[in-house]
Amino acid sequence: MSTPPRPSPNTPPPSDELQALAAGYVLGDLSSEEMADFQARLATDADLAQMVDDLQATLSLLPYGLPQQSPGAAVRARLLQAAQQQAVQQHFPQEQDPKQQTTQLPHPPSRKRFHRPSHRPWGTYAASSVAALFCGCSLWLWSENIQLNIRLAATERLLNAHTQLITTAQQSSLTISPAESETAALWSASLTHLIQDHTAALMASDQVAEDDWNIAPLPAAMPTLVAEQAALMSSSPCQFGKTQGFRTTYQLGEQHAVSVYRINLQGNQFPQLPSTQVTLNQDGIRLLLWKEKDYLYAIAGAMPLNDLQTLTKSLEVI
Amino acid sequence: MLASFRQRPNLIPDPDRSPTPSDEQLVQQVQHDAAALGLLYDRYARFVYTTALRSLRDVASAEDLTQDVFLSLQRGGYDPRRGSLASYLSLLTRSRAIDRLRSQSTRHKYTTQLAQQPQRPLATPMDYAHQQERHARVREALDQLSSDQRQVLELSYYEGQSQSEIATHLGVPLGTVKSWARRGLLKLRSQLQAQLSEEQL
Repeated sequence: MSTPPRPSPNTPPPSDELQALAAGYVLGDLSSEEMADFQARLATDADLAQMVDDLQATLSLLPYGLPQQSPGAAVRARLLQAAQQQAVQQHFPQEQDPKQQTTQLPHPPSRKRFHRPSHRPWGTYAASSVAALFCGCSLWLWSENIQLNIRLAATERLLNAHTQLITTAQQSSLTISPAESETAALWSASLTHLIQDHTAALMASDQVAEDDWNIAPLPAAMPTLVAEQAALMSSSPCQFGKTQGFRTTYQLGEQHAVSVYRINLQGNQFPQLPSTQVTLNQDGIRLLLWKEKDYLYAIAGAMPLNDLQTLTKSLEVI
Repeated sequence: MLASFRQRPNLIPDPDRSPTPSDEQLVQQVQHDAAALGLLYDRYARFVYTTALRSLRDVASAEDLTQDVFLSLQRGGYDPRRGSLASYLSLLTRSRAIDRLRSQSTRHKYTTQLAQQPQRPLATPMDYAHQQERHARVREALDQLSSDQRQVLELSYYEGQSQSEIATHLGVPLGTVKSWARRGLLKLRSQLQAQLSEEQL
């Protein structure tokens, strides 16, 4: 549809024959000869061009005559996820996965579901590789409205940071044994930063240093919560010592938010722990962390541990 | 490019921001602002989905196409100078649906999944009222067409059938189908002319 000037009210309407041809042009039923003649006239007749535009617009309104139906509630969340991924690909094409580059119109992504292992041996801990754990990230914010109460609560928690390892009996499957206390202490200090990153993600992500915008290559796949109630708030590459990862943060209802992390270990060794999962509790914000093949995964949020564990079942790599 | 992301509009509601941004304003923001895409989705998801479902007659395919159509907005596919957003979305959905029908040869494999689903509220009461007004006007206009005119237009628009195919399908001469379609479209345009001129629907 072009935008020629509207015909003057004094302009006589096109003849019935010409109107029929215009309708035929829009409907695509002109013969090749009719088409050539009509196009030649169309190029010089603004009134006729306007009529064609109106007919095209009229045809496009047909769906308003149908009983309206709604797509499933999950479509909206899927769309925003796909939009996020598309935005990443548009702005960082050099980091794309070639397989994903071919997806001009992302269909519901083929999701590779991963399974948490029953036990994974951890190698020697390289303390230096995690001493500088930070995910100040926020390369860009892609979010829906962040609930103010979540931000306020996050701010309060950040000001009152206090870390404690969960070692209670009722959570024994997630307990770090005393023999590993030294290692655990190192992890505790480092992973605290991860929790703080989650907290920071809920706050003003605009206020990041310029360097933070260029910190890490983007992953070919991102950690994604595939749950109807999970609304994407933001995502960002992050740095884990010398390794790189990616965070996505989701709002769950009006009260909760969680961040999920996927960090590429790139062959770095990590400590052997008796449990396949490590948890931290920093003033109400819990972090659940585990390893899967060459990646470290974590989920953080001010939620009961059981809820976080449940959410891990919705975690997929897309 | 990164700088433009940093300076994007804040997604937290801004009291100075218009409570009901226009489609064009939202489209301009959509590449940097998820909230804008969400608002456009809330306004037009039912319109796009209904079109897709009418063509594809499959819930999963229609939802998939709905997602694709809105992603096209993020890729900058819409030019406001060329028509209204509703027209763009309708024509794009129709075009993509017909492409899929043809490529997947599903035209004769329809499964009826047209059951009504719970309706999601639109973005604002104003949006809702505006959409309802559009529906009412178009339905009134369609009611002025003969059943033959309407059927031919719908078979052509939603299912991409050629007029020859429609003639075979209905068992009438091709010239009759052509006449029904043209007259039907011209009559519909006449019925909706005032609205087309006023607000570029």
